[in-house]
Order: sequence, then C-alpha cells, then structure tokens
Amino acid sequence: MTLSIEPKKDVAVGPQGKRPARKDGTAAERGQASLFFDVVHVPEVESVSASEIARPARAAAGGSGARGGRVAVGAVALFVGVFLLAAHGVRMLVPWPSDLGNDVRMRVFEQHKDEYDAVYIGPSTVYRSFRPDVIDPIVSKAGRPFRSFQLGFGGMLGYEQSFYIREILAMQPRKLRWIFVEPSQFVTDPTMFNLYSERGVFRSDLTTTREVLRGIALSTDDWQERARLWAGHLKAWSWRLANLGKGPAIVASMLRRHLDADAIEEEIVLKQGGFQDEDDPFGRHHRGFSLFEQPPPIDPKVYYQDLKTLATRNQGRFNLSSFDIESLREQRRVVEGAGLELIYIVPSLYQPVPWITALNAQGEMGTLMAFNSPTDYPKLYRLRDRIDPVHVNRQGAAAFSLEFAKRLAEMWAGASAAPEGTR
Amino acid sequence: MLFTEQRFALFFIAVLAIYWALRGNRARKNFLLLCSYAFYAGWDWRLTPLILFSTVMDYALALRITGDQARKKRWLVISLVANLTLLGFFKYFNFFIESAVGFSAWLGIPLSMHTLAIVLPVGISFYTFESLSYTIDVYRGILKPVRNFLDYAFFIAFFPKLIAGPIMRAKDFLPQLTDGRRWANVNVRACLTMFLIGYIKKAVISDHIAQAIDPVFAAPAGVAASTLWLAAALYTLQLYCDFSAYSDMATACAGLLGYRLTLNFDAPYLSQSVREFWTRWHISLSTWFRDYLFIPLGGSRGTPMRTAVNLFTVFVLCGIWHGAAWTLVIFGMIHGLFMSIERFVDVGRMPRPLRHAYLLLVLVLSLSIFRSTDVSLWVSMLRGMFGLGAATTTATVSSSWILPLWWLVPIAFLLIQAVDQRVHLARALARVPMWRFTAAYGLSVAFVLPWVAVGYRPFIYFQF
Repeated sequence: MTLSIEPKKDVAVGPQGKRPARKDGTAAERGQASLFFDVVHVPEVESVSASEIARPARAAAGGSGARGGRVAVGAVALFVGVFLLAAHGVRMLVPWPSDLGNDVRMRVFEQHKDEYDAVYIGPSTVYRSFRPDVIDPIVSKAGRPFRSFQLGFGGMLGYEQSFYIREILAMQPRKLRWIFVEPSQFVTDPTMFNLYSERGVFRSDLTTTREVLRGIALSTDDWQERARLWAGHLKAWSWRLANLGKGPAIVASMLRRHLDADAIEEEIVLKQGGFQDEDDPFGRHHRGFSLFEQPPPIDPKVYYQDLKTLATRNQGRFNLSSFDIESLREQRRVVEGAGLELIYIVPSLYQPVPWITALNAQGEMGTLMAFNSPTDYPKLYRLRDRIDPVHVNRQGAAAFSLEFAKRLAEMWAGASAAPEGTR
Repeated sequence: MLFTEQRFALFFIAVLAIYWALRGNRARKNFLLLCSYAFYAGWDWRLTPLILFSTVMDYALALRITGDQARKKRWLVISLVANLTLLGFFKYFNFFIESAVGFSAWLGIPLSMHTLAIVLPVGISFYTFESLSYTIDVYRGILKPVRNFLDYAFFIAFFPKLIAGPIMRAKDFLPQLTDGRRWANVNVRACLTMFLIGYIKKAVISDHIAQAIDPVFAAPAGVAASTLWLAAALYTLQLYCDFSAYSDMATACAGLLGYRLTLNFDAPYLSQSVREFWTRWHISLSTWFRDYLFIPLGGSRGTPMRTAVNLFTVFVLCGIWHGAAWTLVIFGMIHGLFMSIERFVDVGRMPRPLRHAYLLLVLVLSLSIFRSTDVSLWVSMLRGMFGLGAATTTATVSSSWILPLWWLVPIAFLLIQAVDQRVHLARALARVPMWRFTAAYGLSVAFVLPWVAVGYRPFIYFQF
C-alpha cells in the first residue's frame, strides 16, 4: 500500500499525479487544446498553411465564393449520386417481406412465374378463400388449361395491390393472362396502412408513394392532416430508398437460401399453389395475427342477423368524392398495358362494401365477379365453414373455390358473359 | 429531435445552408440562437420559458457580481440557490417525496404525501451546470461577464450541446463568439466522419444492443448467469456507444458550424484504474465536479482520509446528478468507494492485463445498477450473476442476431475505443481529395444505413 502523491495546488477528481505519463498530459488537461480539435476546427490565430487544412485554406485565400459554391454543389451531387447507386445495389439484395410467409410465396412464384395463367391478389379474404388446387382442375376441365397461384396477403389494400401487380408484371411471366383482384380501398392513413412495418416500407417505392401522395392531395382532409400524411409516406419512401435496417434481413435471407432452409415450405407452397391454411405445419401462414390465435366465438344469432341486412347495407349510399378513383384506373391501365386482363372479385364477404357497388354503378370496376350475397350463395356463408365472421376456413375455402371455378368456367364458356355487380 | 432522426438531418442541413449563407457574425449568431430555441421547443415548447428564465437570471446575476463587488458573494449565492432549486424541483422533487414516504413507512410512521406530475425538462442538468460554471467563474474573477445578452443566451442554448452536453465552460466557449466563423477553417471531412462514427455507434451498435438486452434487465430473476454477464457486458458497451455517440455528433455539428466543443471521451475503457477512467469518461462532467465541488471541498490537500471522504461525496453527488433514483446514488457510491480505495491501494502494481480486467469488472458491475430501474432488480441480477439465484427461465439475450456473435464483444470494445483516437483519422482525412472523400462517404452511408436498428431510441443521457 502506498499513499499517492498529489500536487499541492488544485487537485482533480481523477489522478492527475498518477496518470500514466503522456506527452500532452491527460485528456482533461488537454481539454479544448486536444490535438483532435485543432484538426476539426482550425483556430483562427493559427496559420492555415498546415498540411491537413491546406485545401480549405486555399479556398479561403482565393476568396471566390462562387467557386466554393460550385465545389459544394458538386460534392453534394457526387455524394447523392454515389449513395443512390450503392443503395440501389443493396436494394437488389433485399428479400421480400417475411410476415405471414409472404416471402416464401413470392419467391416460389418468382421461381415458377412462367407456369401460371392467373394470380389472385388481395387481403386476408383472398388469402383464405382461393384454393388453386380446387380451382385449376375445374376450370381446366371446362376446356381451358388453367393454372393459378394465390398471392393474397393479410391486410393488402389498394396501393399495396397496385405495387404487387407492378412487381409481378416486372417479372415478365410469360403465360400469365389474368390477374384477379379483390377491390380494396386506397387507404392513406399511415396507422391503417401499417406504413412503418417491414411490408409498409417495402411497398413504398417511388411509384406507390407518388400514387399515395396524389391520393392524399385529392382527399378532403384538412391541410394539417394532409401534411402529416405526406410526411409519413415520404419518410417510409426514404426508408426504402436507404434500405434502412435491411442488413440483417439480407444476411438472413442469403443464409437461408445458402442452407436451403425453406425447401420444405417452398415445396408445400408450390404444391398448394400458394394457398396456406390453418393446417400449415409452419404455423405462420394462417395465424399471423394474434387476433386469430384463438378466434373469438361467433354468436350465430348476431351473425345471421347481420347477413340478413347485408344486401341492404351493400346498396347503402357511399360518397366517392374521397375515393382515389385515379389509382383504381391506374391499376387497370397497368394490367391492360401489359396485355393482361384484370378481373375484380368480391369473395363471400361478411362486411358491407357499398363503395364497390357505387364504383360499379359508375362503370369503374370493369369485369366484376361478386359472391357477397348470402341469398344467392348460402353455402358460402355456412357458419361451420368460418373461423370468424369474416374469414372462411379450409372447408369454406374449398366451397368458395368450387363456386368461383364454376362461375369462371361458365363465364369463359359464354354462358354468363355479363359481369355482375356486387349485390 | 434526435441526431439520428431524419428530421434532424433536414433541420441541420437547412440550418447549415442558411447559416453559412448569412453575412456577418451577428446575423449568424442570432440565427443560430433562434434555431437553438426552435430545436429545444421541438422537444416540448412549454420548457422554453424555463431555459430563458435561467439564462436571464444568470446573465443579470453575473453582471451584479462584478458591478457590486462588496456583495458579490450574495449574488453568487442567489445564483447557486436559484439554479439548484430549479434543478432540484424539476428533477428531484418527486424522488425526495417518495423517499421520505418510504423512509417514514420503514420507521412505522405512515405518511401521505402527493407527488407532482412534473415534466423533466430535457437537458436541464447540462445547461444548469453550464450556467453555474459561468457565475462561479465570474465570481472567481476567471471570467469577465459577457455584456451582450444574446451572446450569453447563445452559449447556454447552442443546440448541438444543449440536450446532453458536453458541458461547456463559458471561458472556453464565449471567446469563440467574438470572431466571425469561417467556412475555410472548418475541416468538413473530419466533422462528417465524426458524425458518421457517432451515428454508427448509436444507431447501429447501441440500439441493436438495447433491443437484445432490454428484456434481461427488465426481468433478471431466474435468468442464467452466463446470459446476465453477457447482458451486463453488452450494456457497458452500449452505454459508451450511446453517450459518446451523442458527444461525437454534437461536436461534429458544432464543428460544421465553426464552433469547438470540449473533448468528452478519450477511450475510457482502455483505462487501467477507476481513477484513470474518470479522466477519460464524460470529461466535461468530471472536470466540472473537480473544479466546482472537489477543490472547494478541500480537494486532496487534507489527510488521505479527508480526501477519500471528499471523493466519496463528489461521486455520490455525481451519481445523483445522473438522475433521481437510488440506483444512481448507489452507482455514485460504488465509484466513490473505488476512487477512495485507489487512494490507498496502488493499482499500478498489478500486471497490466489484470488492471484492465479489474476496471472492466468494476464497470460491468456498477453500470448494471446504472441500467437497472430498481435496486431490487439489480440485487436479483447480481445474485444471478454470481450463481446465487436458480436459473428458472430460458431467457437469453433476446433473439437478436447479437447473441451468436458474443465473441465479437471484446473485439468491439477495443475497436470502438480505437475510434476515440480520432486524431490520426482526422489528419489522414484532411489530406484525402474532396471528390474521393465525398464518394467514399456516399458509399459508407449507403452501407451503414441497412444496419441501423429501425425505430428511434432516445440517447440514454437525455434522461439526465
């Protein structure tokens, strides 16, 4: 044990006297005089001819503000250019969003894109209702070879549907002829839109963001709300642009691919044409939301009572002034521009969709196949075929797919060529 | 508005462009002052009057101190009391009430007192200490009071260091306000690099570690000892990355505006004793306590025991400065204790690796209470770390990708400390042609952003 020797005068909290000897003293002693800061910012009194600051010094000596401005603009342009280029390179490696197993389904479709005639796009009601293993044989038997793939994702609304349509078309699938879409509203509210989720950011590319911004501009919200929405969507777009936080997902996806970790799942997805149900062995396709972990009990009385009024509610008045009709038209233009046919389908929905009725009345829906009538399709509304009032189970999906396939076969056979409006 | 947020980037780019486009030092300073208040109001506009009050009060009191030599002590006391009352009320009122109620309950005397719903003004500990240092320096005759109120307000409110330091001294900062700042004197490359380093430390390293270890610190009971040790070690890394990142980014922002901030970190984890650690960690705070508390208490001029008592007192107060919680008081006590012990025991006699190991052990254990939200949680954690509590859960350091990379922790410690030796980097950068630097910077940013932990987390030191 020794007693430390302290300087007689002011004594620091730290061991001023005991600090290992350094030429320039302790950091605390150096304080502002630290060598680093002399470099970060050259003191006014110091000669600016030091080698490390030679360039800025010349700029100052030149006194040419205009030249300095040009250099600054050039540097910013170079930075932005290199950044965008590198970010674009990184983005090529970003995998499809992984929630609810969508990444596996998109990957399988991408790998087999030239084998399919049709795809189904839409929210959970599409995701749960369309069974290609039921649909394809029936339609094919009717005389038209038909193979379809299910790409419904829970919560996929208007803008996201348009995004995936563009993504699918960008893959240039050779055989693809029909895109079946469940019409959905073009929702701009970031909270409803799950904007900052993995999926929300992924779909916020320039085209989608442009569409959304236009939709917000056309809305009847006050300017503060519109500014908030604009800012929110621009932020999501910039996240996508910068691939913010995508590093771990890129590495994980590369590793999984390298290890062939998704092989079994891909095989099942391929076999079922993208349809995944509550028997899915991976447990992530059907019950991604905790809401469905234990489906709430359905009160039969309430359920059937609601069904009785569904037709009336579907015909209810709906003000389309805030509906982004332009994006709906754009969706059609994109599909038809690629030489494909867009067919809107309304599955056996439990909730009323008066806005589809209103749009159809205005002739905005083109070909529309509607199944949301408990009177016409009582089999599709059997309570035992539903996991909750809104979604059908595997059995319900089979019933729906059967009905859909028959209608499609009939339609193509010319028996019922006229499109049918939502009831 | 956090330095890691996009809106800060937009704010700062706009400020920078307008600031350097303005002609004249006065216009630039006034503009920055305005921006600083806007920045502060962005947190909570209701807090702006408080900082304004503090600024006006100390500006006026400093003038009184020099103008009324006969009663200068009285004016200083008023400044000290007013500043510490503000700090005490906003930061410690509820803590004292709760502690008093708890203590009386322990004595068997039930007390019923109400706490107040007080908003903790961000940065109050930092700007109060800056303000105090100003009046004390004026009182000591080290500094002449500044005549221009706007200059003084600028010193207090300068936004890069307003929220979490470094705690600037008026004598270091005010002289910078007299001359005009020149863009030509700014080493843009070093500043930008420093900002990026800070960004990586915060958004990539610290925030990812936080995601991984937060569940462990929230419920350490029953967690396996190895996991607890790993979580504690990771927190040591996180805290350094988080806080030093703020200082790096603040210094870089100030540097781009032409101002120098004081050095706050100097590779603290490379220290070989607790005493050395405190000369390298949060330097602006430790030197503040040294100059304005330790030395007035007598420093080390008395007996060794007296010195030890002084040190212990200073560190307990240093702990309390960090926040109103018993965990932080104990943190201060632990460091005060080790500082005092090192007055009697020559740590330097130990082999070098042992000295490092000793320091890191003290840090890992003491910082675990710094992180714990409750003393009982810390005790539970310590019991688990030393195998005194049965591991009943399978909780790991979260499912994050960090866990399999535990072996990277010591390497990260060393690498990150090396970054503190930035002088070499800054010098090297100053010689890199601008176009090459710009291209490399664009590339670096593009490859860093994918590794950011998405979701903004406030800097840990914001709560202090």
